Amino acid sequence: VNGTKREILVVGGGTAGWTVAAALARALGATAAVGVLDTPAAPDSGVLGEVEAAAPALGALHRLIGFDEDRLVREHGAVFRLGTEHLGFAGDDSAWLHPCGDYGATLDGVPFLHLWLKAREADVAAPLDAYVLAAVAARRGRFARPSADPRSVASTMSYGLHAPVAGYAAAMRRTAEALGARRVGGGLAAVETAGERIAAVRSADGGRLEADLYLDCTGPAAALLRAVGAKFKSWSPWLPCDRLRAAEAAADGAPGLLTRVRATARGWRSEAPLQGRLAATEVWAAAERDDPSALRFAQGRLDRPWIGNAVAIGLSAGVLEPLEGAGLHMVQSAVVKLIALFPTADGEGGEAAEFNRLLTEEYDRFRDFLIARYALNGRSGPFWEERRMAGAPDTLRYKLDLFRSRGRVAMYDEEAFLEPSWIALFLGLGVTPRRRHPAADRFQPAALDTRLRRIADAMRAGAEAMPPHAEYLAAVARRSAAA
Amino acid sequence: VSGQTIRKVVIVGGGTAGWMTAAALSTLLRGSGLSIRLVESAEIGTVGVGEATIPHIRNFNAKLGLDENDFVRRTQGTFKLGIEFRDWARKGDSYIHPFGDYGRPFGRVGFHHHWNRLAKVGKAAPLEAYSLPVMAARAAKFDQPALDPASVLSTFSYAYQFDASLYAAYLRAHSEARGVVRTEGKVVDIVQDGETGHVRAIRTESGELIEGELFVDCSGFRGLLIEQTLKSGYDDWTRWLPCDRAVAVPCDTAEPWAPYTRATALESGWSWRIPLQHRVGNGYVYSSGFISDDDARERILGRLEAPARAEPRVLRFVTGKRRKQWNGNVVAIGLAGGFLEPLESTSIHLIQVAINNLVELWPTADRDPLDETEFNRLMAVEYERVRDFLILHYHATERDDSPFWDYCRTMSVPDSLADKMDLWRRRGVVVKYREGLFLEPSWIAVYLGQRVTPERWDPLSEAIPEDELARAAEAWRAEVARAVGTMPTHEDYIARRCAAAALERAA
Repeated sequence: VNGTKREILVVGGGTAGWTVAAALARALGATAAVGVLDTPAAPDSGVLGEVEAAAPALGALHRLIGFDEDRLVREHGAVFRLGTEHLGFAGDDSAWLHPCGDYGATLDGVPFLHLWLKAREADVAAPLDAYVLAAVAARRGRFARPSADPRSVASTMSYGLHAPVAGYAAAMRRTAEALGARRVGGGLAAVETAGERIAAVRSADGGRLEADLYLDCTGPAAALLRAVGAKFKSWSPWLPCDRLRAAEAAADGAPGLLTRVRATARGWRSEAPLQGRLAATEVWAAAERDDPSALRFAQGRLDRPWIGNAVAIGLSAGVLEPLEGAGLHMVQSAVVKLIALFPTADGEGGEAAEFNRLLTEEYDRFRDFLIARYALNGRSGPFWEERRMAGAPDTLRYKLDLFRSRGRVAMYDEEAFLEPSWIALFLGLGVTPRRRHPAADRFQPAALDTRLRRIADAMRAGAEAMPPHAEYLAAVARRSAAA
Repeated sequence: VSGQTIRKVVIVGGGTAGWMTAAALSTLLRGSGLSIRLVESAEIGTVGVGEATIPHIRNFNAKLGLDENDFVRRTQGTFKLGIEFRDWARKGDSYIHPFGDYGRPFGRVGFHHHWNRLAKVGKAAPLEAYSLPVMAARAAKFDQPALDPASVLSTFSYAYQFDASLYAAYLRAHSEARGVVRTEGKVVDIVQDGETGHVRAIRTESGELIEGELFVDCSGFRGLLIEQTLKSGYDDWTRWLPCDRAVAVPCDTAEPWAPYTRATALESGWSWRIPLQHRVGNGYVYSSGFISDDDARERILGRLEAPARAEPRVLRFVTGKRRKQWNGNVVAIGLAGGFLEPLESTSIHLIQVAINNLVELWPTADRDPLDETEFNRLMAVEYERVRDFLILHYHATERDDSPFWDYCRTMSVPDSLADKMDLWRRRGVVVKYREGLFLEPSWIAVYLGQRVTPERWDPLSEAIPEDELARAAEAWRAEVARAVGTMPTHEDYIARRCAAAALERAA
């Protein structure tokens, strides 16, 4: 059954197409030929908008592929990222930070959140952000890649990237091509099916391309998966934003380390720093008077992202508004799962059902993470009031109820975010746990004060030990130029 | 922050579950003003729920601050690297489900895929030759795992085999030193709140009324509070796990202490062998629909390697799970909450999981029902995933030498397991979840040990040339064999560090 050379055709380039091409070329080596039917003019296949605030998980995929992140910094103006600051969602003057990293430290088996709640009650707590290195470093404009030494405070931090989408796709394309993936021109013209399988695709220049496995990276159109019968499940009652406009402005000074997102009348506006510029993205729910120049999209996912010999990666599998690095995170997640469940040559390995279970659950958990800021918003105005009325899916509702009750995050099997992210989100939206864990009571306020000060001091010292972000970027650029 | 702290908790029943709960609560919730009482009756025998454990117990003991050598010495303990399964897929088969890995991944592809590929062309040794814990167990060796992840000696974990009643006594001392008050006496009456139905108090034979805000039901199978009082209901899983009785009998030691537990498939169930320092625990877990109590008793007595140390005892159970293990202000832990046969030594582990979840979801006096909901959600997942793993042992068999095995081989299994087995058979993939005790290496051990071989291997294995792979596998095998040679014997390890006093052993 095993042992033949495989033909793999990636339909659509962009971030999704070139990432999956690079990862498969890397993993399959000489056992497969990876072709990419690229359509460079189309909007991107993995990310909505022109800049991505990539989440930390991407780093693992970069290492797997052997993708040189530093090159993004040197050639495409990318910068490092330590979190997202949210403004206005819980009310006009509200602000909260979702940092890349974990809070404080568990003391004597008591989770940090509960120590902090107790300390806050006793009036000896600083704001929660004082106990997370990513936040402290971001506020001070300092950055260095985290330490691998688990004893070091720097190991509690992770990081993401702000990168221009076109630059990312171009850099990934170079990586994929160096690994042996080859571009086939022409763009997609038609899909030939045979039942729930793709028989061939026709390119715009008249070619007929057959492959053992087709990767659908055609963006929200999901041209291949739709052709074999996949259905789109809409999330618009919960996530109604459907328009996007991107703009860029020159920016002076050192680039920041945070994505800044501000709620607007019918959506939000984000600013992501790049070297020497600031990329703005505006996302909103269309009103009666539409803006014909805006990019249109609809949020939701396919019921089955993998059918027969076709697998959707990126926006073809699901569309989430471009917050918290949703685009590349889900590309990364699908690629890692595809490699773990790579189909056998005879197509009889039964991988699709397991892939679909894992990927759709993760989409739904990411969806919940985004819905929370609408369902729990504290803004006035008809749009935001309607969002509160629209409520939340049961999975999010339960998570919210349990957190509100006792500061515990209910985790399901496939989560897109870890516990600290949910804690930041819920507290940021003004959800205060009604109770805290009684085990925190064993710490007297004075003792707690001492322990918490020590943690905050360690975070400050850890941040001060890092160079300024601009200096670190310059060093990265020098190093990769020398290499 | 509202939510008055609970001040009074009453544990009903001693035994392993009761004293583990008492020890954990008195340690982990110290300083929160909690009063803990435990009511037990010497008249009611406790069921030693499995004397073999899995590695998680080390976390539990560490949280309590127990010293390992002291604990092993005082419980007549031995070390455990895995479980040997004999005669499961076919008579004459033997495999060990180890606490550790088989081989190591090459090129990000799991070793079992490479092994499957090499075995097809006759270039692989038996799978167990690539597992350090299995080879060490076969050689009766034991040592602490190495801390350096690069060392082959770091590729395993371990657990213990011990006398559960001595463990309970050990934890009783630990608990009483931390303020737990033990009351001797049978519970004769339960006082419920007329409005909520919550348990307000229990009355003992002596007439004492013991009030509490939270009751932990560790009364065993009967579920004095959770079932007899609150009628929480029970999900019966006997159709998939048909054994419903066990006959237990200890005997003298005739062989060197094995660093593993043995589970041998018999005509109508399976028998356990658990070597301790002072004796060997034996038992036959069987289905009363297929063999009588008397025949089961004779069968186990006939298998003993040395004279019996006590009269055989018959235990009855119904495999399954209480529908609500937490109901109102009663939390059932141990056999009161459910029963899964000790085939994979999970009894003590399930107690431990319940205790952890109870501590993490420690309720307040205002009784938010979400505590109960989340506890029951987590426990249901845990029980169901262990259940599926146990069913696999029975279902994945070729045995057709008795009506019992005919039933198990041909029964329909839960969809959750059928899907897992299908993906394994077709592609060698182990279905993964965040929750659930048994991880990939365990499923691989049992699948392959029971002759469920994947039809295909991971195609990414092909990226590595066959000869290169064969050389790498052989180097690993040789490294395992060399490392096992450097380990002390299990007996030497115990003799040097944690032998129970000779007097106690003779007793």
